Amino acid sequence: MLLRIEDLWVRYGGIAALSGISIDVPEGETVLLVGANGAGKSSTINAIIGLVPARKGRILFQGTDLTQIPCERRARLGIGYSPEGRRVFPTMSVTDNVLSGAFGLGRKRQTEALEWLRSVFPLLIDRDKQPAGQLSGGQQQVVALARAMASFPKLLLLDEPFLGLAPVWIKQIGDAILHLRARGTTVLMTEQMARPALKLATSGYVLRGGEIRRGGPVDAIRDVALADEYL
Amino acid sequence: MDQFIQAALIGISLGAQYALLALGFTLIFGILGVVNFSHGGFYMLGGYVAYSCVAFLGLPYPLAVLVAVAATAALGWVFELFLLERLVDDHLATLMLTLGLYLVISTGLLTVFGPLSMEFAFPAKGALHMGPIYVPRENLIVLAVCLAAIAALWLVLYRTDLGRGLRALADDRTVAMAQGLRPKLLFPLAFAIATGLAGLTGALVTPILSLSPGVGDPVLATSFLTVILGGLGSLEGAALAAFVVGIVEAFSSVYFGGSIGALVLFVLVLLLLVFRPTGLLGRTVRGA
Amino acid sequence: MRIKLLGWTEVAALLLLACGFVVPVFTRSVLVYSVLNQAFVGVIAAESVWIMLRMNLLSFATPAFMAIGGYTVAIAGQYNITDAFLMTAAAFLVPALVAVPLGALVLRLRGTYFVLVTFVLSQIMQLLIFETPGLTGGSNGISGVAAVTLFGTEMGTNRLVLEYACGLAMVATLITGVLTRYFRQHFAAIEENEILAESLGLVVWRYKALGFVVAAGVAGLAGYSLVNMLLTAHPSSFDSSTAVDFIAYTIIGGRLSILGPVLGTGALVYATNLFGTHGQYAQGLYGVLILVVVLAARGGIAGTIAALWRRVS
Repeated sequence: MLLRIEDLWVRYGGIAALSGISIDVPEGETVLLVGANGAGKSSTINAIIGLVPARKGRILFQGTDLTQIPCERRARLGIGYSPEGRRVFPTMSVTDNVLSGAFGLGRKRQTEALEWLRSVFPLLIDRDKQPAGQLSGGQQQVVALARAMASFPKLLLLDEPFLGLAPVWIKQIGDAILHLRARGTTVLMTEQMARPALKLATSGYVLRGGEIRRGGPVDAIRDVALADEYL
Repeated sequence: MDQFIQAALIGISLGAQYALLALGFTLIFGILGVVNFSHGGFYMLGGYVAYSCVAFLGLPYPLAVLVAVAATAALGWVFELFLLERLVDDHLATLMLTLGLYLVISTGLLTVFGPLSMEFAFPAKGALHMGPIYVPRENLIVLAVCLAAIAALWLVLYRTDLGRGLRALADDRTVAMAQGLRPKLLFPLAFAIATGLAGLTGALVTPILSLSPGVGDPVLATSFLTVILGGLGSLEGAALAAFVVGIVEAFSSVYFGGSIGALVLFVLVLLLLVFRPTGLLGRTVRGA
Repeated sequence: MRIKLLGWTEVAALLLLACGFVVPVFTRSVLVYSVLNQAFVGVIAAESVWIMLRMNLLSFATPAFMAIGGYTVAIAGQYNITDAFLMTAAAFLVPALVAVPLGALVLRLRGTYFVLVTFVLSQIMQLLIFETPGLTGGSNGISGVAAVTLFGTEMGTNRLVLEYACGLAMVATLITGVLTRYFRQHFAAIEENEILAESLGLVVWRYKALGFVVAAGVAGLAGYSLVNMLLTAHPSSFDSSTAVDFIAYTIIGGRLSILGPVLGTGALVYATNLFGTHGQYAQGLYGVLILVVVLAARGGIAGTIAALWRRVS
């Protein structure tokens, strides 16, 4: 198991965001967390990358408990992160955004990463010098995805990659995720829009009110996930 | 006409000095979110370190300038790492810490060197005569070094991994940390670069102007003026505004005399702060 | 809900200041009078800083508003207007009125910008004084300001000047105390979390503007007291660098209660005078103490005393 979350609790002030969830992410799979706004999807991702502290429970990444490691050291263990709302570095060029994801890896690895990502996303060549803040939402999502992949992570965390995107971009981002999966990258993604996301995932969990309602292979959760989408 | 060109040259050379100061100041604000009230202190310190190296150790002036840069950068690094870093998210506390440091530096220099001006002369004398225009050699050297330092800073920020990391932290600290960028490593470096630039300016400029405790006060005021004009945290804005301030100052002192130029600039800055806090270039920068 | 106009800290501060009236019974030392006069001016100025600090705003504008208050009185003196009540009111109201439009504009901005605006303001005021010699006497200032008259008595002797300064400090403390007590919860909410206070429906900028206006008036009283002590309005009295002293008094004294600026000013003015003719070295002491307070003793002198008291009892 690449990532195993055991009985994770997260609170914001007095409000419980996660009440004891357990999640398994096997190597090479794409695991989906679905649920409405406030169900605890982003809280799970934030707890893994370290932006919110875990009140209780363990987050085991390759056997190491992440809750004992400060945020800025977690990425180094092999975790790539694309935040909710993309949050590219707005004043930095597209290329610098991508390379910032490979900070401190040395020029050789950085060039390698950049060349590979440019072959996957030609957009990175067309817009290489443009400040990322000037791009459209879909373009920014590509940059955020490339930035997260630039360190060749073992686990990729994608928080709401389709949020606010036009269908054509949802298709493109989806294809990119499938491409990464084919390369062997393990993905944990959250999505409010269950329908396109279910096409990408191998297994998933439906969250509601900070608890897991159902988990298992994609086919086993499809009906609950789609029912939730219309709530 | 000659007077006009003369004033323009003075303005550009002032602008280059102000740019070095303002770039450091805005770098610290953009990356750490800290308003550095000790900036003038590092300028003074740079001057005194260079002076001491020349007067007491007999070092050649260029070497003394390098020592001044190293000393001010080192002090900045230590101050950030051990004091500022603990409270780096508290705007008011960091501001008071830098204010405290400024008082300590200026009183320290006063205690060691006394209240009088130092005899610290720029080693290169004479002037270049281009037709009727007369340019002191020392101003040209200072201008050249300042421009070289600005270019070097630009290379570091826009062409190296370190610079990329610093700009990422300035743009979005949370996401940058989640990418694995470590503020505890990079913040002291950013602060050291900025204070080193202030020290460099002090070492270069105080032999031409003057070196006494208290020369840091106007430096702080000018840095403020410049970075507000340029938009807090914006590097391009600070560089541009520095030349605007330098040129306005030079022309108003040649044509009006007195402090009218400064008054106009300050009022302009006040209006800008109130109505357009993003500065002249109007880019959205880090929320202050 | 009954709102208390004054708490025990305000009463303690007033009683402490009132000791100034008793001092002339024991001594006629010119030095003691001079130190006390400086302290009374400093207390008022520090209270002006403290009002804004209650809302997490650091103001460098105190010397600017002190100048407005001080020059108002000096100019009125040239027209033989010296009545104590009239002058006190003018020294408070003129700077406060100037602060109204400024405050309304400036206080929509966030904290860091406020610091910068106030810094720029005091620089502008300095330059304005030099550029308007017709009104302010420029770099010469206005000397020979007529002594104030209270109920027809000219407050000319050293002792009367001291008692008048003491009275002004108490007036300023009363104004500051009543303001910060009355709006205690509003100010505390803004200090705690401005964004949250705003989202809970508090019109934050309005309270900040009110604080700014009253702080400007209080600073005006400090300027008045200073001019009255020196019988001169001079630009060097209102140098923008003196803002740092008042900030130091307040932070080192402690920002938690009004006893902070009072005790801080008393302690630092006293300490500065220990340096004798080398007063400029006192700034180093201020610097070290600011570092210590910010890093280790957030409550300052007043807060530390209170903490020790709690431990004992």
